Amino acid sequence: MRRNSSAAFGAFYDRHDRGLFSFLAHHTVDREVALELTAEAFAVAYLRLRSFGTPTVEPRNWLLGIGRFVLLSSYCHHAVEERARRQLGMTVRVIDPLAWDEAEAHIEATLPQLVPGLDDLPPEERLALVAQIVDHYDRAGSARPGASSASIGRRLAGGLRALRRPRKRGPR
Amino acid sequence: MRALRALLARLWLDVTLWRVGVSERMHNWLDPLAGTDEVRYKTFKEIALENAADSLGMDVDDPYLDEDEIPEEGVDYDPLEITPEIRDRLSADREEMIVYIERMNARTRRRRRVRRRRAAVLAAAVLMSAAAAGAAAEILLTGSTGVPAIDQVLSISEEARKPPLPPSTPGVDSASEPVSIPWKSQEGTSAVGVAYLSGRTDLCFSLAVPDDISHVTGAGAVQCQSLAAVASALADHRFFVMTINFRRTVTITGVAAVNIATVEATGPMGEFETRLGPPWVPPVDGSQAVRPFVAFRYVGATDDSPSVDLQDPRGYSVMAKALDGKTYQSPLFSASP
Repeated sequence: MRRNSSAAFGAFYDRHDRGLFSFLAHHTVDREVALELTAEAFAVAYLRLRSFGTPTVEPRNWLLGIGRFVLLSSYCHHAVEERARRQLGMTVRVIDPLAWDEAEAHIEATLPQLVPGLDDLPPEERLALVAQIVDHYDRAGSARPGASSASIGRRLAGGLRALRRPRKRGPR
Repeated sequence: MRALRALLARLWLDVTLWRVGVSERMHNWLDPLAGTDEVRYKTFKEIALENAADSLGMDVDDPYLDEDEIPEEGVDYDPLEITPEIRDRLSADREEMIVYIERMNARTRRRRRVRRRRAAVLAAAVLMSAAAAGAAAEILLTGSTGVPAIDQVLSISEEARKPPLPPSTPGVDSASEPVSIPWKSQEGTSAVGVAYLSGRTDLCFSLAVPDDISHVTGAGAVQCQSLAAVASALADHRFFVMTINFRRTVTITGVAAVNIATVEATGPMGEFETRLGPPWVPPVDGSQAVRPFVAFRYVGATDDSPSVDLQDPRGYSVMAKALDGKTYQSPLFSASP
């Protein structure tokens, strides 16, 4: 898939839209929310493709990874993620707050499926950890254009190592 | 007094170190008055991370999904039936996205064009600067006739004539492209003559033998005449002699008009061999084409100079024959004012 080819991206969209929508709908239950998240995930995918070029992993897995990031990010921000669509200039539909609350509850319930290892954590710790993951994804995604996925991964791993280091500052 | 000063310095140091220590402990949220073994509470994030970080498996090259995290359709989630309504919504989103992608690409292309245009303007400016620098270098390079032996002669000539330089001294700052006239002397030594433009006003002629400059030429082998004088002489006589050198090989150099086919020179020792170069136009507006020529004759003297009677120019004559058969004769150095 070429970086700026809209036709190629259209074909990519046609091939994976149903799968991504099914994945997001499974975690949100609400179809409206899932549609919005699907559009956001494709927008993120295009922007990342534009910045970093063709992904090194299988396109479906790459897109589902982006879908997971959009889900987690929306869960952390308590709203459907819309930054990528706004960056592209696309319209963003308003989601009924009640529908979002219901979708957020489903996301929270399926968090252990999204991030293995969260099963045994209390809810507040889950949220903290997911926030860290989203934060690192964001930072990895905001790496300089042209950075390879390997370098982004190293940056992400470095951030996680920094998290593991004991911190001096903290509540007494 | 000295002891008091040392005491004050030590006191100041102790206070400073104590203040730094307190500040550091307060910065770390530690009680500055408590012992160093105080138990520090872990942050909320540290606790969460300790419990789950190892199971995350985040140290992967790709920031999105590990192999074991990739959801499988039918296992991790069920494929939904796509209703026509959802199909339409997905298609509408797709179309909108394509439109905005095209728009973004167009914006990018415009910016890229602007960048390229700016780069082109910059490159043009750089090229013009380089061209100017090149032109300057060309001016400097015109100090060279292109023939190393001639350059060496000119350098020697200048060194020999400084100071002061006569008006007709060949300059090395604006010589034109050289016209070479190689020939073989009777001693078996190759030499080369070059006519060149000097100072954009004078036509000069230099003669040199590589590695043996003093044998044939030397400073006296360089002679210049103004272009106006050259033009006048060519109009009157179709050729004129510029230099004559009396060494073991007597050489006569000059320029002829383009319609001159042959040049013949004779002296007390007999006829000379001559070489007539191809036409060359000095790169100055209004200049006419000339053909440089060299006539030479090996004298065979044992020393560097021929006998005195051979050094009288009046004993030499040079004649030129035009293409139409006409013959032109000129006294030596006839172009001189």
